[in-house]
Amino acid sequence: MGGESNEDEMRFKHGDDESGISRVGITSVPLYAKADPFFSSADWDPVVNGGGFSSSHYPSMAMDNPGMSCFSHYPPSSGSGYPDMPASLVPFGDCGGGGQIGHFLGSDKKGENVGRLIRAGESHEDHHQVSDDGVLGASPTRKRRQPEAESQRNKKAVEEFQEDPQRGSDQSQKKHKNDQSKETMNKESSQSEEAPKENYIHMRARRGQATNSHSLAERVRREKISERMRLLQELVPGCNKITGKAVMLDEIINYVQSLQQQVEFLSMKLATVNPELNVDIDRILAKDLLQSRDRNTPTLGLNPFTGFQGTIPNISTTANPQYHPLPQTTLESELQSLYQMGFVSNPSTMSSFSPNGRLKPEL
Amino acid sequence: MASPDKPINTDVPEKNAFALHFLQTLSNLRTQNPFNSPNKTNDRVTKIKKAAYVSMARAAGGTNRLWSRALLRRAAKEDNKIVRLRKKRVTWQRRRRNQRAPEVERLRKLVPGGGGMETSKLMEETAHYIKCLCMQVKVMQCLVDGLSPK
Repeated sequence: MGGESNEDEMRFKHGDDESGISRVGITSVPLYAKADPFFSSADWDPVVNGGGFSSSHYPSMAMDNPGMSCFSHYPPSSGSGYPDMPASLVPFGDCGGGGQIGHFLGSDKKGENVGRLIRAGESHEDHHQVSDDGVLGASPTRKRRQPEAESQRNKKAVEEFQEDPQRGSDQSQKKHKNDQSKETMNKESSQSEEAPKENYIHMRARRGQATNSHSLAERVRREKISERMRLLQELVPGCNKITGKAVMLDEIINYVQSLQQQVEFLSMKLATVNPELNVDIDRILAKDLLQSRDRNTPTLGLNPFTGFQGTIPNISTTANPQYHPLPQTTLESELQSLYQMGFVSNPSTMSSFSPNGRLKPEL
Repeated sequence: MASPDKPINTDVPEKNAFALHFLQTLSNLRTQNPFNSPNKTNDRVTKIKKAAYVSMARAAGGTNRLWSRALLRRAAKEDNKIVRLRKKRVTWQRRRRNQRAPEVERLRKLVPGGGGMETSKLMEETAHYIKCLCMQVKVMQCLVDGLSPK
């Protein structure tokens, strides 16, 4: 039975496809369009059991009142079939609601449809009441002709098929409006849907932006680059006021070049003082290692070179309290040992160094 | 908008680390080939410069950073005297790169190892490189100031 009902669903899908997307509606008028596939799948069995009845009066019903014709098939107990709805929603979502936007919406779409179907059920009750008046007389006859169920069902499907154009022509205008409202609803739902997706998409296209994957990736890349540019902008002095990437990059390049030139210049300076350096680096490092073993050497308080002492502390920021005191004392002691060994003959000149002169050598 | 997968990290070790590395490299330099002849100042300059860069690369990132890795590899290559002539292949990447902004290309040449980087990565590496260069300059300035008799 289940397989047959599936067949019927397929037919209904066909019908839906023929009439197009316009068959999807919100208001109660075109509701039968949705209710058809639903009841064909979930509540079909009772109809099939008594399906024979439709051979006599169904065509007339269809001619008279296409809106109510399908409801005439439902047994009065069809109201109890509503809890079965979610099972039948998946095919419905595919065929009935499968408009342009519905394909990639997935679960949200279903939820929407649930809501709509429930609304449909409510309004269906009214229809049912109306249709029961006319059909109730025929209902006893249903139960007699069970063997003919299949053929009748097929017939009914064909009739439904024929009926579709009528519906489409009847309520095409209303359906258009409904379509528009549905599209807006879908947009809203798509926006809410995209929030969890953001983990791997990163970028959402705004209105008017291209949405294919290449331009999305390109936008992500540009975003990354501009983020790093901001980082560089903070780093390079005098770059804050500049707007425009090319100028900023020029400034960055100049800064890097100037730094590299400074390194070159300083190495030149070191090379000129090299003979002394040549002799003493070993001693400095030996002292360095020695002093790194006993950290408690109070070099800070004892040294007479206050000018030099002033420059060292602003070099390092206290980030690692374990690591920090050791190198500071070592560096200071190195340089102090340099002075003590007689390279700096006059320690009082040390204090005359301006800190600005240190950072910016004359280039 | 921060990329959630990998935050940008341009943290630089303390200046003293740079100083230690630099001094050690200088001493290594001296022990390897001592500066006996005072005439060759140019040699000395290049050697000290190289020592400065290598020590900076060691102190800053080691092999974790792209630029420091490239710098160290280049230095090792120079040490071993293995000079390979790079083939000039015009691949589609190179062709495409020629179409890019000329400023970015100039920056690519400045930052060691920048030739093969993505542009965003290049920016990140540049930021780190600039920080390290600042540190190195400060350290060298301190040394020069301390050493130079006035």
